[in-house]
Amino acid sequence: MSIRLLRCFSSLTVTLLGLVCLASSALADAKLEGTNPAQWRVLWLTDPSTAATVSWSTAEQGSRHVVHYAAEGGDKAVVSSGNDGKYSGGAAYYHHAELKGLKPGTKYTITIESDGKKSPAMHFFTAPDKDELLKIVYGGDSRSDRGMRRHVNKLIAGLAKLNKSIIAFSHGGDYIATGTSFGQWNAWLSDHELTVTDEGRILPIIPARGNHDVGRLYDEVFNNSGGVGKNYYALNIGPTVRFVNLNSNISAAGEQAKWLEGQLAAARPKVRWLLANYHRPAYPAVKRPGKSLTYWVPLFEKYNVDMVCESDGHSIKRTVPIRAGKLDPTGVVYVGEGGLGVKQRRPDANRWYLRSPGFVGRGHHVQVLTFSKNELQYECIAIDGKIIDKYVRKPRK
Amino acid sequence: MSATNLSGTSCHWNDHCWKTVTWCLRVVLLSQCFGVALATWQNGTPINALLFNDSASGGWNWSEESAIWVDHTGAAWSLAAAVWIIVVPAFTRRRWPWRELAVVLQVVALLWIIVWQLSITLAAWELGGTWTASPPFGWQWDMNPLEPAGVEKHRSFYELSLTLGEHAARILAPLALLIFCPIRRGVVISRRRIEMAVWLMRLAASATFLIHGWNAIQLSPHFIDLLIGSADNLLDWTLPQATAETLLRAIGMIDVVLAILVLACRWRVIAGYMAFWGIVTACSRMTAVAWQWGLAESLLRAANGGLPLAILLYWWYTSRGRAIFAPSADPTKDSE
Repeated sequence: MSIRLLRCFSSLTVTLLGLVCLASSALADAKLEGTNPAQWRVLWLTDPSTAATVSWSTAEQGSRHVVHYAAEGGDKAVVSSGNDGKYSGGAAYYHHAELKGLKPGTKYTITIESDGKKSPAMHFFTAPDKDELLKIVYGGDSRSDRGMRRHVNKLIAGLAKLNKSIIAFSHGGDYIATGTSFGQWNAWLSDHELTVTDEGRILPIIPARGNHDVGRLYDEVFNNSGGVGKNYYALNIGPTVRFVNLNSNISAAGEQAKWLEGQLAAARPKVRWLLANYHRPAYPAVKRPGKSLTYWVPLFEKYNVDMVCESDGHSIKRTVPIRAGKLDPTGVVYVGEGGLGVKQRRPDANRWYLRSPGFVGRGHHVQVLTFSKNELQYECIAIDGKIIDKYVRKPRK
Repeated sequence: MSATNLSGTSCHWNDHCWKTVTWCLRVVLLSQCFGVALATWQNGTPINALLFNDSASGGWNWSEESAIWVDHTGAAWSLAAAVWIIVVPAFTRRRWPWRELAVVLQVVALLWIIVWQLSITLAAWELGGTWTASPPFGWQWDMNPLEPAGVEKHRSFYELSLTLGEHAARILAPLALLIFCPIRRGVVISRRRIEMAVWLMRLAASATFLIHGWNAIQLSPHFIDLLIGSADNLLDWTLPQATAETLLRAIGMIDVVLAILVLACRWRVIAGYMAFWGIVTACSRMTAVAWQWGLAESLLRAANGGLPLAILLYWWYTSRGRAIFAPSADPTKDSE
């Protein structure tokens, strides 16, 4: 009964807050001129409980780029950027400063400084080290409908403002249409500032590479997430959630599959929730399956992955639990597939894995994943803040 | 069907040779168009995506229904055209105007297949969003003479070359058949025209092998997975990625050498190997993943092995005294 009440309350809260948040102004659109810090973002690439990367851009190269940070109630510290350079094909510069040795579950205030020019003070939360409720926002495909992209980003900021349990934003790839176009990345980076709340709260981004994100710029924007040429990595979000980010742009069958099996085998006995995230879907709502169906799905099933986040199809989908190509309550659920700012397609509702109790839909959206001791709750939230799909999964025995 | 022999005298082109080569091309086109239709039904071609995508991603911003309609209609017409090309020989002994009508429709059908295949290729180039081998010799990404100066380049000329080269066999196979087939009854096809068709096939096969070879040398991740997946499914062999990459580099270099040799020499062994390898690599789309998802991709690559096979057949007939040009009993009679 209490869980049901909690769920109702949670849904109502998200809906109302989503609507309210659309009206709230976010900290955004900083001018990219001189050495003014702009296009700020926080990246989670290794251990979100103790480390984060603060990234930003400047129009001019500058010489001294630092981040001032402090834990709530703690001493101030300064870290210099460790990875700077000029964006490929662009007239701006990227800077990445790695914050290490952070305290888990703690609010960190940051101010970015480039040659004496400072950003507004902002903050983010590190992942907890205790078994407590946490949420992440998930979505993919923000590549071409800029108006909707900005709208969805404001929705994300609103959700973050009104729900402190949301601690990160996972992007499933296809940030932009032409990966080698700095102009498009430049616009995306500025738009991403809209995900920062008006109180200055930043949701750390967990990036995955999409098929449109070709070229060097992706690595320059996301500080070589997972390593240049690989871009696959895994991280713990708290002690109970393991989030495996894969790259569907490179070989799926080779080293990546081997690495994936190692990750899943090691993580499954240790965590309550095991998830994967990548771009090209194994169980698509629109197109035909990607290589993940052949090379990754058997591993997901072997190691009982709980949920898989997919993108690319420009629609909304949640499959039934699937094992061995059939509906099986013990199987893996695939959700997606891309609505952060791209023209939406009509999904094929007749595919067996999407029929009820699965779900398909169309429209811009984000997904909120809530991890608790008793359940993993999935909610798909439309652009108007309404929850249009909801699914609950219990922990595996 | 007549032609001019090597010494320049008018003669019939050997029936068997002509029939074998043109039937090879007809079957290749049927497979290719069936593959395109299946791919359209399963996934949609790049034309669908180009028409549907919003203008910010280089698309035409059509409604999804319209984009799908155009895509499906184009594929359906291509399939119908390929079926017609198979049926046409049955009309060649009919009286006027049936034979003439059938042949004219065959020309229209072949032109349609060329136009549709070229459109798919150009749409694929315009869309991007796929892995692309690095340019050789430090070429720059923005080398695109088709886009105005001072504007951020959307797609490069280099990418266009890659895409056109990769699809050259499927675009030029119908053109080769078009050149091989006379329109008027009893027409004498010049040796020059036959050689032109054969040279076209050689160029198309060369371009396709060259670009695939270049992609292999650059370790296309898609090719790596084809190797690993096929080795696993067919041989139950877990091929390490490093081994697959070594093999791929070797395969790529062989492909590039073949691409040069097919232009430089008339060695049947070259055409034979290219036919074999073109068919094997097309089929690898099925053997690497579940066959029902790879079937369309295999079929639409029929020309990759089919064109070298047609070249091989032509060279086989024209070598060792298998006279391709037999004396003409009646130069006005069409032996088609």
